[in-house]
Amino acid sequence: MLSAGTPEARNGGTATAEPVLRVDGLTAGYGKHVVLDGVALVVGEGELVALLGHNGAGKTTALRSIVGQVRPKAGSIHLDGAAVTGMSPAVTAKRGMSMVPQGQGVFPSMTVEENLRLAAAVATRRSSNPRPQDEVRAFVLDMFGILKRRHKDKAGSFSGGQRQMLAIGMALMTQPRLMLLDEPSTGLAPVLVDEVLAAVRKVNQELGTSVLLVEQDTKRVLAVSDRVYVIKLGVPVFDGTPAEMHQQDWSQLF
Amino acid sequence: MDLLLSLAKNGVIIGLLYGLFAYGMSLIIATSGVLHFAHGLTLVGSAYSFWFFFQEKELGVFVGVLAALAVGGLIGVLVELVIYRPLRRIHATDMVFLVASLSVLTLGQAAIVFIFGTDPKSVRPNEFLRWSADVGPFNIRTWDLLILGASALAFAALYLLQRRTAVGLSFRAVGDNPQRAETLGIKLQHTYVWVFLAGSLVAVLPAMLLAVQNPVTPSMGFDLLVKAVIALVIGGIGSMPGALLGGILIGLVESLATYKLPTEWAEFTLYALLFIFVIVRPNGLTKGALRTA
Ligand SMILES: Nc1ncnc2c1ncn2[C@@H]1O[C@H](COP(=O)(O)OP(=O)(O)OP(=O)(O)O)[C@@H](O)[C@H]1O
Ligand SMILES: [Mg+2]
Repeated sequence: MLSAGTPEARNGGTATAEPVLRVDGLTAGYGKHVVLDGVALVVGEGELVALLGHNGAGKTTALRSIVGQVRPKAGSIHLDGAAVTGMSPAVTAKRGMSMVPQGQGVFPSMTVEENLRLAAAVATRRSSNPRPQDEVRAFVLDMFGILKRRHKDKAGSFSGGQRQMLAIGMALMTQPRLMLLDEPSTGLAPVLVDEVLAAVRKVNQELGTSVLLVEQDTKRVLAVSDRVYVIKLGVPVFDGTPAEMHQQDWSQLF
Repeated sequence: MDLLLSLAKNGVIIGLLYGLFAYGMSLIIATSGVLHFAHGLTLVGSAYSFWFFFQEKELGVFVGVLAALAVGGLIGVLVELVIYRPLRRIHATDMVFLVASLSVLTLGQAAIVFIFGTDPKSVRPNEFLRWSADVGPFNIRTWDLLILGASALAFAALYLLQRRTAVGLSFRAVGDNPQRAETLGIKLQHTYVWVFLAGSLVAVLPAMLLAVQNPVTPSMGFDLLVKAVIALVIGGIGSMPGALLGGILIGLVESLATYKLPTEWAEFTLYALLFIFVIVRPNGLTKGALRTA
C-alpha cells in the first residue's frame, strides 16, 4: 500500500493547514446568463467531496470555473492557500488541479500508452511531484487491468467505461493535488458505476489525492464521500456529511 | 518501356517532395485546425532565401540552408502569431481563417514580385549536383539521392517526434481535443507556435530541393499548394502514409501523363485525379480522411 504524503511538508510546514481547495462566493455564468450565485465550498487535504445537484444546477459550470475554463464574475478560488481565480486551465493544471471533463477525457487517436505517457510528461515539469512516475503508473495499471491489457490500442476503440478509466488514469499520472471529476459514471452500466466510484475512493485513500466529485446518482455517491454539497439552480442548498444528508428531505434539495 | 520506367522514377522522386510539403502542412492543419494555405508562402520565402544567399550572394551552401530554415520557420511562426492568434481570440470561423491565409499567400507573393521581380531565378548546379549515373534502366541524379535521403530522414524524424517526444504527443492531443489538452496543463498557444515552426521547417526541404533543380518563381508556392491540397484529399489530413501516398500518386500521374500527353496537360491530369477521388473516395485512401478542420 502506498502512503499518503504529509500535508504539512507540502505546505512548507505551516501549522494552520490551508484546505487544498477553497471556493468563496463563486458567481459565474455565460454572457449575461448567471448560472452560479454565491457558491462556497472547501475540499480538505485527502478528502473526497461530492458536489450534487439536478440537471442544469450548475455543477459542470462550477468545475469549469474552478479550473479556469469559465471566468468567474465574482468570488475567489484558492488552491493550497494561493489564489488561482481566473487563471487559465493550463496554469491551474500546472498548479496541481486535474479535471476529467464529462465524457471526453481521452485522446481517441492516441494509444492508451501514449495517453498516459503524455499526461505524465506534461506534469513532470511540476516540481512538487511526490512520487516517482513509475510508481503511479504501476498503481494505475494495477487498478484498471484493461489499460494494461490493451496498452497498444487506440483510446478511440474503447467503450465509455474503459475511456473513463483511462481518463482517470491520465489525471492520476499528473499527480494532482486535487482531482475534479465531472460525472465519471455517465452512460455506464450500474456495475461499472460501482467499479469507477470504488476506484475513485481507492485513489483517494491510497494515494491521498483530494477529490471533488460531481455525480447524479446520490445514493451511490453518499456511500463513498466524506462530505457533500448540493446546489440547486446555482445556489448552495446543502453542506454536510453523508449521514446528515440522509436526514434531509431530498425532494427539497433537488 | 525504358522511357516509361524513367518517367515513373521521376514521378516517385518528385512525389516524395510533394508528400513532404503536404505532410508539413497536414501536421499544422491537424493540430491547429487552420487550413494553412499560407504554407505556400513558407515554401516561396525559403526558396528565395536559399537562392539569394547561396547563388546571388555566394555565401556558400551552409549559409543558404540556414537562411532558408530561418526564413521558412519565421514565416510560419509569424503568420500564427500575427494572423491566426488574434483570429482565434475573437472566435473567427474557419472561413475567416481560410480567407486570411489565402490573403497572406497572395500578399506575400506580391511582396516577392516587388522585391525580386517576376523573372525566374535559378540556382546554377555545381559539380556535385550535375553528377549522375546509369543504374539499369534508370539515370540516377544527385538530386534523386538528395530527395530520397532528405525525405527518409524528415519522415523518420517526424514519426519519432510525434510518438516519442512530449511536444509531439501534445501536437496530437491538441489536434484531438484542445480543451482536454489544456486541463492536463498543455498551453495551447505554445503548442500552436511549435507546430507552425515544425511544419514550416519541413517545407524548407522541398523548397531548397526544388530551387536547385527548377526555376524559383513567385508562384511556385501556389503551384505546390494545389498539389498538397490534392495529396491531402487523396491521403487524408494528419496521416503520414496518406500524405506520402498522395504525394507519390500525384508525382506519378503528373510524370506518366507526359508519356502520351503534351507537358502542358500534366496539370490537367491532376485535377482529373482529384475529381475522381472526390467522387469515388471522398474520404481518401487512408482512414485519416479529410475531416473538417
Ligand atoms: N456553454 C454554455 N453556454 C451557455 N449556457 C450554458 C453553457 N453551459 C451550460 N449552460 C447553462 O448553464 C446552466 C448550468 O449548466 P451546467 O452544465 O453547469 O449544469 P450541470 O449541473 O452540470 O448539469 P448536468 O447534470 O446536466 O450535467 C444550464 O442552464 C445550462 O443551460
Ligand atoms: Mg454537467
